[in-house]
Amino acid sequence: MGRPVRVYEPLWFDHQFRKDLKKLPKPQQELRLQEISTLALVLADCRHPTHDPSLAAWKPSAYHVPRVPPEVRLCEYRCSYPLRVIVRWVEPSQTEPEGAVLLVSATLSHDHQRLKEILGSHRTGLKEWS
Amino acid sequence: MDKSEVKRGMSPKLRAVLARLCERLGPLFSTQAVKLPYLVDVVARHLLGHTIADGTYQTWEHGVVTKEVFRFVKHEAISDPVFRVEPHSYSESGKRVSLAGGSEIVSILSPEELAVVDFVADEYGHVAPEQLGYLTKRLNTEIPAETWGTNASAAVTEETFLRLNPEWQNVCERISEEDLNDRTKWSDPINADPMAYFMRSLNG
Repeated sequence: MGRPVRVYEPLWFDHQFRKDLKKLPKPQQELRLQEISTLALVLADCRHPTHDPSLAAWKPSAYHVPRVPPEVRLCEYRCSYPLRVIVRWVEPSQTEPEGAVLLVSATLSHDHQRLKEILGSHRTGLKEWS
Repeated sequence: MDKSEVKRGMSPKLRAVLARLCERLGPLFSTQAVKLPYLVDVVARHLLGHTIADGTYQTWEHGVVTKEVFRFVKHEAISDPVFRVEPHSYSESGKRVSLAGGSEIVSILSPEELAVVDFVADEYGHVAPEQLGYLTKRLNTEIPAETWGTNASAAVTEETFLRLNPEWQNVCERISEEDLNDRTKWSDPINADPMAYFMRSLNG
């Protein structure tokens, strides 16, 4: 086993994620969970949270959020669209001698349906819209 | 040469965007005036395939700023025929931008472009100025904290547009509010069978 993979319980699989996931057909649900599971295990063994070639498929990038302390290193992973996963990479320390991977949040809501609907209403209000 | 060195003043389209925002929202605080054109271009690039205002978007301390609008508000607004810029009482450095007269310049925007500007005005025109700053930061999550305030380039990409999604913004906001160092909120290691853990979480 590589570094431990843990879950930040207050945010992981929150209400919205569960709702979005359960809208999918069962096989799709399992595929999404399987992908997160694979990602978690690759993170447990990789050398770097964004530059390790084993993570390339997830197009990792640093993830900086206002008000989060600089020592909290967050990364974003792009799974099969529209699934995204946010992870905290914990370097080895006295309290975490092996380091850790903390799964922080997952989101499936990137289809912008609401945005499109609102914009659609603007469009219909314009006589010259072609 | 850097793009920002080439540009001078607000382009006609940027002026039209600003005028339309004023028409739709009334007088704008300077924070709104420098940030909303950025959101216009983020949305326009996705929906229309091109930007409208085409400003120079930079990473300032309190979020993304349209450099040309800032310069206009700060230095170039005197005797402008379209805009009136006045100090307001809420802050020492803040100003308010409003239309001085007619807004004929808006007519250079196509109906599609107008729809995008109106959408941004309606959706983000009433967001508190401080929150507007955070929102533009949350559109650029690859940018480290120390880069805000250095006037680097802010992105106008498909990725930026995706991050406008309300749920995505909500996730960012919630992460900001949590104490990720609180180990009492960390689960035990799940390495042995993450899938089983996820299934339990989902059904629990």
